[in-house]
Amino acid sequence: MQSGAQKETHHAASVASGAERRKSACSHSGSGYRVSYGQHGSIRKSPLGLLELPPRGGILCQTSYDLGQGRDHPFPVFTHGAPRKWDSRGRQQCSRGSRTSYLWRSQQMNATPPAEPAPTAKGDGGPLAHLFIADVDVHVHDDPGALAPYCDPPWDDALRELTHVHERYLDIPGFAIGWEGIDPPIPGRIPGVEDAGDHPDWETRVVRSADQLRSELSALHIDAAIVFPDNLLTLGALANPRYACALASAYNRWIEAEWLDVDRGLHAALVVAPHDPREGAAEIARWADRSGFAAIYLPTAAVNPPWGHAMYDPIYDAAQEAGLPVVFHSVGIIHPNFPHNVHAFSPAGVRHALLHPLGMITSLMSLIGSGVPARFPRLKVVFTEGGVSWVPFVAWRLDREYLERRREFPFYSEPPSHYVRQFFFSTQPIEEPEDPRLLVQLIEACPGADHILFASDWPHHDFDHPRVISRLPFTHEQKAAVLGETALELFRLRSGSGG
Amino acid sequence: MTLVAVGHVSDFPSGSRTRILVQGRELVILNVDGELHAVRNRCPHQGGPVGEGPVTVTVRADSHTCWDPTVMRDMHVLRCPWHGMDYDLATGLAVGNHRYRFRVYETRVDADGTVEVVL
Repeated sequence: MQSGAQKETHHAASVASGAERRKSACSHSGSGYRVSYGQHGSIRKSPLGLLELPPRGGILCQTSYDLGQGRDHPFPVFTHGAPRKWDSRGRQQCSRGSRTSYLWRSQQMNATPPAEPAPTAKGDGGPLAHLFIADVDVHVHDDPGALAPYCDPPWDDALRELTHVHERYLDIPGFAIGWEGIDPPIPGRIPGVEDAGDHPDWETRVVRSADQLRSELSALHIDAAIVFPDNLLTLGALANPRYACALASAYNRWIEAEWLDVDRGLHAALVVAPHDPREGAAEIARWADRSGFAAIYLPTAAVNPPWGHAMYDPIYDAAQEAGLPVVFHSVGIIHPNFPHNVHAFSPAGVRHALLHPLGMITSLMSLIGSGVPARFPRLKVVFTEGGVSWVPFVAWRLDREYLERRREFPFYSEPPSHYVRQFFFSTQPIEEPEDPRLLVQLIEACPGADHILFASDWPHHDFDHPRVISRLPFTHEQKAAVLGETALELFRLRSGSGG
Repeated sequence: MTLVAVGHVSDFPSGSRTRILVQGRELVILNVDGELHAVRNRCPHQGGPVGEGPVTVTVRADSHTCWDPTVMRDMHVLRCPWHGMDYDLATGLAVGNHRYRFRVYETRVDADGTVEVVL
């Protein structure tokens, strides 16, 4: 932890240069997201809350994000301050005066950021400054080249082969099965006008090092976090079970070697492949005692049969014995397995809105249907990245069915909503009704604010700032619980803001 | 406590089901395996004629049954004919759902065979 004096000095040095860049950017930008250029720099956070992300190595455009501190809107507004284009060969064009540079998107994603000192956290005061904030869902970029040194043969060679494959966001043939390229690109990138394209670079934002992650989380006021993968979100779509299990093991070794740092609040979720539950149970047992592995990530996308099937019992048994919560996490891919057979839905925003909560609902229904919460009473279950407003809907639907068909639910002594309330749900992407009281009412209806966990999903395009919770009409105690205290106890986290 | 005579025991043979109106309330007297049960003929869910539903069994799965669904023969279950809700005939509690409970009344049989319901 840095001292307060150190924090202030650190910030003061950054504010002046940042202000100049902002002033320049404002001359051709409405507000919010701005583009600046120049030397590599670490993240800086001004008293006004302006977060400036470091450029990835090799990137000529430095982006800065106005996280909306002091504004009326609760979310960052991303407007592009300079014209940019993707040309027909998939290169990004960045203009600076008369200078034009090209950057392959794959290079952007594969670039290595410079090592930078971590910025201070919570140095700017504000309502979040005095709260412990835990983020139960952040993502690190697990490309094939990163995992290859940690992977068993022969799959390590397969991963090295994949380093030559053009990488798209969560879409690498033979590694991350996305099938997302079914919509036409949206035309209309007009020089001098905001980039309204379908692949702005904030959709390809990645985190490549623990230092980078710690820095960016600190600027978001986040003290502790649980790391999840990017590409292995699609793990369930892989057809070869041996390969899937090898990737899960390689990822866990990579995380253990390069990311876990509980002193700086960096924890992780173990990846378990659904393809071979007994191997998954062995993987849990291998790492259960390693400090920093705070949960078990179970992918929901493309998994068949769904997670309530008895074949997965060894995983739940191992998780329960290890005292590690299982976290279900979906991703918006197209796949023949329900509910990802959304190939006829367009545009991508519709599929995305549909798939995340539906992935959660499918998994929850399956767990309830097979009696998992009764059969594994000490198992902690978390659902993440589906928002929260669907939870009372599902609980009430199940209760209604239970009334009529209790005989089909012989495991239970209470209606299903009783067990749904024992699960935990993370907030991102949080719903934003015009009247935020409605969202709070739904949360309090089911599962209750004490079973809600803040998640940012950083660095993904639909991330949430902790401010989305602090601005809800919760009590102070509820805010503290949602933002960190519940996760602290559930995952046995350690704080490490700024390290 | 009010005792209301509803008939002679011979009026309720084993397996019978008799609807009666008592002080404005519709009751059903059931004789299940020689045991008399008096229930309010109104399901607390949506008001269905629960007393007219089948008397049956339900199933349970827990650690004692190795989580295999097992028929519970030690419990008589009254199933509402409208939505199929199962109630424990002895207590009126919905099986596995303590939010719902329908009225069951104690029955007594005098020495002369008169059946009384305790309201």
